[in-house]
Amino acid sequence: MNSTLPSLAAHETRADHASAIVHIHALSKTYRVHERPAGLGASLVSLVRRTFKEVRAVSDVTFDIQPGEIVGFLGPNGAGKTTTLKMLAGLLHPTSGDATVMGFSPWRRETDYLRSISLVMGNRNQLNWDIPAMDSFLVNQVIYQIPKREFRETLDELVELLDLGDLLTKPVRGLSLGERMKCELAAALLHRPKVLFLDEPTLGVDVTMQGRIRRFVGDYNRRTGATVLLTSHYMADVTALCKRVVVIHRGRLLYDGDLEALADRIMPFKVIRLDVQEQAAAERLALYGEAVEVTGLKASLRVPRADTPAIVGRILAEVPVLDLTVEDPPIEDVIDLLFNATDSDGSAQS
Amino acid sequence: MNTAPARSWTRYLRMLAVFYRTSIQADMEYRVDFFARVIASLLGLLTTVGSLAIAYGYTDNLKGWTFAQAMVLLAVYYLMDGLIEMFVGPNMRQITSQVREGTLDFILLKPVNAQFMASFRLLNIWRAANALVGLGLSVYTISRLSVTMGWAQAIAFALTLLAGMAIVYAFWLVLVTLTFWFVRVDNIEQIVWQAFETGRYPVEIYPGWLRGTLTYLIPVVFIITVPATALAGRLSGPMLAASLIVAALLVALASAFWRFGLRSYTGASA
Repeated sequence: MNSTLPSLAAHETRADHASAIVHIHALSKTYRVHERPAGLGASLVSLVRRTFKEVRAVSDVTFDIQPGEIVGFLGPNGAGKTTTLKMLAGLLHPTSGDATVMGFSPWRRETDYLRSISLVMGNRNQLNWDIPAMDSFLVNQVIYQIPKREFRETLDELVELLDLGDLLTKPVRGLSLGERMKCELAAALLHRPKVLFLDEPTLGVDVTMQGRIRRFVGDYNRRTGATVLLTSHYMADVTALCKRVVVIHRGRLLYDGDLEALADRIMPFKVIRLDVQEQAAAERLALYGEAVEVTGLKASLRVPRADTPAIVGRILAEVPVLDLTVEDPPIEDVIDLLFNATDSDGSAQS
Repeated sequence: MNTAPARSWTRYLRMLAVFYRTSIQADMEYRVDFFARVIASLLGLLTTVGSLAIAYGYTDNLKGWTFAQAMVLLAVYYLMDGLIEMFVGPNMRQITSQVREGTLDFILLKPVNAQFMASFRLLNIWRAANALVGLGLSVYTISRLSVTMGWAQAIAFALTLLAGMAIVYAFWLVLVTLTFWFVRVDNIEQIVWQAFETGRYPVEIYPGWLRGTLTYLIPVVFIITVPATALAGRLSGPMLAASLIVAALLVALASAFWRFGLRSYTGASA
């Protein structure tokens, strides 16, 4: 099964290293976790004698980000995405390796650095629940020393882009999850950060709100030229926003490059969906490619990417077809295949 | 964004103002709490005054303290308790829960001194109840002691109160910093309060070993006895200086420990 997969270079070499706004070089983070077996007896023992296990959360990760880029940062749960973001936002020191953002070492937490970045975490809130979001915004205005006029301008822009309207004057406690996320985003952007780290910004919100937040991130990036590093479990977020993706798995970098090129490499085929006139025709389709699904008068076929035009031509000439569409394989499947391949490879062991 | 940053102390004052304003605003959601506090405070006061009255029923003088003087001590105890619960307690408790929930990250992300923001983010306005009861009792007991309150005396009293608060803050901060290593330390707060409560009575009534502990190891004396002495107009200059020096030293030590803890929290010391 592995032989069908083209081998992946650890990461692509990028010529424009010098112009990058984010440099990450051989970045690694090892956590020392307290290990405790289950059971009361073991718990009592661990009170006196603690055993520790080293967990490599991030291992030798290297990549650059250009100013104004939106990069999708992908990987399954526990891959090391959040740990990497936290190091870049200055919340964690790396165990080894280095990173600079706008020329700063993030973990020094210099005032000038913190003033030009933001980290949004979809599963945590910075807004005070007991007061309206607007009051928390005013606190941020003072903290970030945003001049009054600039604050008003940015706020107006955010209210318009995110459609905040009267949400700002209600206590945050009373807002829906999606509404709260919009306010969280606004709070994180009032100081106009030049680099934005988004960790699952659409987590748990409904599809409409996901679309809205996604469009907002794209708009914000276009308007301000901010650089964005985004993690998400929703591939729709990534396909809509990111031309380039960085994929990590078990702390190691698996892929860095074009999202489309990734699909080409991992799943070098297209999916042809057909509606046919008669049952017999549907059954004959297996001759043209790998039949993924045949139900009644509907069928879908998997065909090699390069041969797609020729095969479509032959089908149209030889089979009575009502409708035909050609699609890329779903990106979820691509990513899934990539992770599974690495797992069975045994090449990325902890 | 490129405007010249305001002078740092005015900037921090402005932050303090906005922190307290939003905090009071949030507290308005829980106004019933205030009356409950006043009642609890008065009840607590009654039982303590009662036990003091019983003790003084047998003697006019308890190890050099008259009943009126002991009442001053009690008044300062209530005042200090109220001030600490207003300014220090809410923040220290918040740090513990923020470490557990991971929201301390939001403080570390801000371009301000993390210790400042963690320590002064909140103010519990309803806890002013205890402070008010304490203040009222202070005024009343002072009037009964027939001491006249001059400016110097008032300033000395305010300074010793501040020093006392700073000492409690320093101890609490050290205990809270332990959260960086041992996430669950909810009950450490009890250590602070148990020590603090001993200050309700004149330190002289305790046996020698405990008195030593309360003076030198946990300087409870500086938290209540010294401000009470200042209020009664009997504070000496050296004692005032000692109180301020001890407070400054302890805050500096606690601050260093906090920075050390933070380094461990972010993995800088690993």
